[in-house]
Amino acid sequence: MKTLQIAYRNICRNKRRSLMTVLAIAVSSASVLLFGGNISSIIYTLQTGYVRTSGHIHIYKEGYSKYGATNPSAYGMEDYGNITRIVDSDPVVKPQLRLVMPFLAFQGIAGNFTADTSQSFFGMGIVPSLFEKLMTWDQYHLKVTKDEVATGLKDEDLSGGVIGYGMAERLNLCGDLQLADCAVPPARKEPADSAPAEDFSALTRDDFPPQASGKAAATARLDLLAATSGGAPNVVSVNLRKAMKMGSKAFNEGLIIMNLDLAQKLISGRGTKKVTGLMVQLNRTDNTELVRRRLQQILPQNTYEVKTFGEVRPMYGQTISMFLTIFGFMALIMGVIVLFTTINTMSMSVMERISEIGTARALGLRRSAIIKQFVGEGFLLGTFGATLGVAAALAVSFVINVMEITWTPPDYANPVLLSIHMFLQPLFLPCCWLGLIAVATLSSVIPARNAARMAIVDALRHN
Amino acid sequence: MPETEFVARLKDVTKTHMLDKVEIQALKGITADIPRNKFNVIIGQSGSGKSTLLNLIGCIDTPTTGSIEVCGKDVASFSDDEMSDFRARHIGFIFQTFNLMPVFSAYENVEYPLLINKTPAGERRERVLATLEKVGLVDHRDKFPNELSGGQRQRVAIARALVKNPEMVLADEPTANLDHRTGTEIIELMQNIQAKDKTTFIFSSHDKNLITNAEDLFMIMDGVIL
Repeated sequence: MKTLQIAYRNICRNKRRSLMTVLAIAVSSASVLLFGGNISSIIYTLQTGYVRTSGHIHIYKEGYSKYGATNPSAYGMEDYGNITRIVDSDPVVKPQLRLVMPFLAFQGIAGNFTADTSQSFFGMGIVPSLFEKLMTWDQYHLKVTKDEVATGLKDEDLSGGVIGYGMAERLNLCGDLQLADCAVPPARKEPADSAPAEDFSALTRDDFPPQASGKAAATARLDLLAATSGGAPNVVSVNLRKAMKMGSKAFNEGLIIMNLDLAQKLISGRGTKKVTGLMVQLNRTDNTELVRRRLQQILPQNTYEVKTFGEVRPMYGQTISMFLTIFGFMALIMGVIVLFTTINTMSMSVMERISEIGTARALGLRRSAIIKQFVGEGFLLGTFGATLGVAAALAVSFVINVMEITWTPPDYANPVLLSIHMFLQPLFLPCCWLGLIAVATLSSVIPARNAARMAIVDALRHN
Repeated sequence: MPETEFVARLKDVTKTHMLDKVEIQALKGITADIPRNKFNVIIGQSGSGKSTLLNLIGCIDTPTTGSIEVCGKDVASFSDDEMSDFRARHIGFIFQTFNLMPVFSAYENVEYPLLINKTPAGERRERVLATLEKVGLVDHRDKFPNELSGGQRQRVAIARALVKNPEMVLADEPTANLDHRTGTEIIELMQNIQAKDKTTFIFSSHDKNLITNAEDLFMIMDGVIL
């Protein structure tokens, strides 16, 4: 305690120099924390986005991840109800489980023949009630966007669907869906002698008769064309309830989410109803590996494959690696700045106190005590700087989070909130704080050792 | 520590310094016995080697050749830590430029050697106040060195040297930075303390006129005791 008291008085001797050192450490500390907090926020936002749209684990028929894209019908799951029950009732998985939802992913062409527009799309058949729950997963209590996201679909609404906002714009559905800030394509000039275009919507009329007009809710109809699992073309109509901002640009401009029944009707026709796989969402991401191992044990061997969201979307791991590399590089630079700043300050302090060092040694202070004294000063500078940096970082992050500044990540269609979260990784803040204190303390060892090695008579002569 | 008649014994001690590439022999084979419980004075001109001699006796430097026995111990065999502990227990220093710690008050400067010796807090306070009383600075105990006059600073330095009850106090030209009257007062103070407490003082000076009551006088010239 006395050592730190003396160290404090010594660093107060040259207030300006000590203040500059403390500020340099504080700026480094705040930079590392803010950048790290932002990266942490991005990583967890990304994770939340993936888990909200596709869960933690996917169960596919064996071989789907390798060959399913080229032959989806051959790798469709028929007994998904049975598998759902197995997963749902397992005593190890159950406590971790939030939901299991079958899904059907496919591609096709969507046409809005009233506006004479069409485009290819990614289709996703889901169970609306489960999908709504899927999208409310919030382990980290993150606010990803300013607006709440919900499809508004109901299980009993068999022909209902939602569409990506960008796709709605492309298909000229802005008016029908009452979209604000919607880019309407310019009206085409039709040749005077052109006959009304034939569309394939008539094929679906028997299945889904047109609804009575005069509804208050915004709605629009799209006709979807896709190949069935048997290879024949099939058509259904989807009644769009909403256009949603989907995050990724590709999804925003090409995704249609619909009731699983409708998707199965389109893909399976009158054949056996299949799904692409099962989405398993857990209460906590931390348990993903545990549940994956368990599922591999309880599911029939060599029949199903179990993939985590990181495997299904490898970009997640790649993004984390990239950000961690950038963060590591920046933290290294900040550490080096703290190192040299502290070495410089402590070396100056030693130079100014050579006579005092000689006196203390003559009075009987050991070399180790001299080292302890100067290292104590480095420790205090580091502690003051790192603590000030933490306070500054907390203040700046609070302001930024409250301001709800948005930015658009690469390949995103819509802005997300720029947020800084330093507590998502509980050890992040204490580790940064302690790390910078350690750097400042260790960097004072070199000047301290030089001070301790001085010949006493030479030091005393230095007046 | 066995009580001997001499506080320091030097035999054929030489000390050679290197100044750039020039070898300077500061002490040339000194043999001397410094008596215990006396006010010893080493007189010599600047550069005569008296400070080097005091440094060797004070165990803050080592001889090039020869042997030195301090307080009955052959200090040549000591490690650096043992030497530090030995100084902390047995030797008090008074410097020409006072060498007080600027971040310590007068009280704390006097307390410092006791902290190094790990003296218990209660005893520390008692001894510091008693020593400050002895040098007449108890009312100035909370002042920092820059708030004290030169004479007061040297009194604090004397108190710092005496507070641990050392076997000897080395004072290297303690009046050189003081005016004549203050210097005389300081010498009188040291002589009074020595007469009362029988502490061994080894005092160096280049001014013969300042020395009136030296019990043992060592004259040094060009590294040789005359």
